[in-house]
Amino acid sequence: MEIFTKLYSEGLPLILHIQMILLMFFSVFLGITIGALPGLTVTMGISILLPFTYKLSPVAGIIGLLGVYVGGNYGGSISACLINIPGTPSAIMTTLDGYPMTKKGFAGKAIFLSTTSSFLGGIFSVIVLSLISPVIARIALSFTSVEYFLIGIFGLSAIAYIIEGSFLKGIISAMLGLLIATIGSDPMVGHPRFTFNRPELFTGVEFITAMIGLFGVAEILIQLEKEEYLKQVKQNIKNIYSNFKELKSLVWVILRSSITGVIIGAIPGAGGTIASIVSYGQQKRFSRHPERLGKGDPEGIAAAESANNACTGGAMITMLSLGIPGDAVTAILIGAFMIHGLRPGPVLFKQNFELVSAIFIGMFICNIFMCFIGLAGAPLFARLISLSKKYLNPAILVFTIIGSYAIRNNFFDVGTMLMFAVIGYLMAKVKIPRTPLVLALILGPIIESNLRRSLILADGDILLFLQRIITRPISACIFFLTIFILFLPLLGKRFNREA
Amino acid sequence: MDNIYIGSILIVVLTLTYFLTFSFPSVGGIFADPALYPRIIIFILMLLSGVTLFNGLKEMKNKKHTGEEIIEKSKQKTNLKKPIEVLLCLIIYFSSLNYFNLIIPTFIFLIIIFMIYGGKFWIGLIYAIFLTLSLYVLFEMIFKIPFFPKYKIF
Repeated sequence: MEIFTKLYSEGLPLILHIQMILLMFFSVFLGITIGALPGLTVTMGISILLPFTYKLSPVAGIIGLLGVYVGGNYGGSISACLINIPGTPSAIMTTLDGYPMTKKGFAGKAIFLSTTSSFLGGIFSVIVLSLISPVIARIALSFTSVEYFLIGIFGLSAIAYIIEGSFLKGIISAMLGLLIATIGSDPMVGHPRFTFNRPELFTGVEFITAMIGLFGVAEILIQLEKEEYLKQVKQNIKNIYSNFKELKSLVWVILRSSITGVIIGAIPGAGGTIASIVSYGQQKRFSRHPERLGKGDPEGIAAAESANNACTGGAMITMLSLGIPGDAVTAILIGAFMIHGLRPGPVLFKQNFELVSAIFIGMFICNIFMCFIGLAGAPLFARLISLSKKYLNPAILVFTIIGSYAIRNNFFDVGTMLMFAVIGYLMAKVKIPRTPLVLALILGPIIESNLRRSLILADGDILLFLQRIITRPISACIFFLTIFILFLPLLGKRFNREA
Repeated sequence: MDNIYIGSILIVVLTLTYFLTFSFPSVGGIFADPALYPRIIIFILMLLSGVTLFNGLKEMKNKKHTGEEIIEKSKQKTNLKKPIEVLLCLIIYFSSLNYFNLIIPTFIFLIIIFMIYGGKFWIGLIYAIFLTLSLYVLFEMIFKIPFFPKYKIF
């Protein structure tokens, strides 16, 4: 019990001062704006803003980005409800009921329900995060290299399967990420690999610049191929606050969807989009009036929004306690830790307890700000949605270049960023998902060093190494879970054929 | 057709990468060898590329008879001009930052990109002046990011 009290008190001095409060408020506002603008994604926003956190303290930098994450995940629902375009992919299910409700003249009600459901889902996930992650981190302290190797493999197998599009292309993307992660000094003997005698590459590919290229510039290049159609919000957003009674009847829907969201968020690679789809489907099964879903039903908005925002805490569970990113955004957040010389995982709970505590408190406050800004600022965001990309994208491009340079004041990193932008663009053109590559970049060094360490400890005996995997209870669990996930598509095909 | 491109390009790149691993020295036992792990990944990727290439060839064979490929291609016709223009501008902009500091290249870059997006020149001019000054204040004065040669506006 003492540890939980500590979790909510140690970080308070780091959070409760005016600069931090203002930073959280501003970052949540920025996040909602990014999420609300169709075409700007949370991943893109965070990857571009990441280098600028270098000048901030570790707590301020990480919490600032978490504010953008929390705000951005919610922001997508504003454009989903008002113009039928999900601002972020995770708001796709919100359009099904949010926009029909707006068309009926209840835009205020749609915004109220999406905001409060997101808020409650987010708060629920932060509570679960703070309760579960210290326990997982404590268990993870007993992990050996065998378990870490298997966790890395599990993370990769899950993302390759869950990611949209072809399974084969997902695996190719992940393997390419693993290969790129080998650039730099060998983790065991220190010999440079694939560095072409460039000292800038001795420490490996600068992860943050790769992210900026893959998700920032590449996304803009993809959007340039399509014509821009600006949609104006035609409905008046009124009577936002007169829907509290409606919310009471949705408590169970929100709770159920939040639990779904947290669980799916914790699965590497799953993320908010899958959470909202699963939760919406679940709602269809549990609802007393499933025929109303898709026609402006409050239950549909509540299910989708609470689930996708509950994902934020879920994705943070594995990221904070094991150092394994739950989605692309948490992968970038690992970059934010690395910028400040920190590494998420069980050791973080031991050595930087105040920081972990500050993250929990910060996420809690960010969710409160999200609710407040979302409700009060709805008319403003409704106007911002119509902002043309010609004003936004040139500025974003300059930010990507200067941001990449600012990390190490090195033009080589800008070149790397542009290289990854081209790779990201080409991958999108041939429909290879980019998220597995990014997660593999993070997991690659963990997998390689722990695999080789385990094999050396087993005196090079592969049978002994396999025996260790199967005889240790935790490693055996992870191993069989990985096998199950890898064979799930084949099982699914077989069942379908039989059906 | 995509699968054929992916498969063949990957096979070429992976073959070259495989040969690069021979420049790594052999140290100690097999598991201390720096080339072992990259070679395993290259081997798996080669297999996956082969499967992708095979799938692509199979698809092409099936589509040839129905003419699906032509219909699909006409549907997928996209505008490649703008992405290439922006990419070139980015390369020129980043190269010029090394010689002309932040202000002048950023100002010109912003106007050009604004016009690529279909904006009018004079609006782009006002937009570029405002944004360049904001960026100068933010990056050079607040964040103190070193750009060379040094110019001072304020």
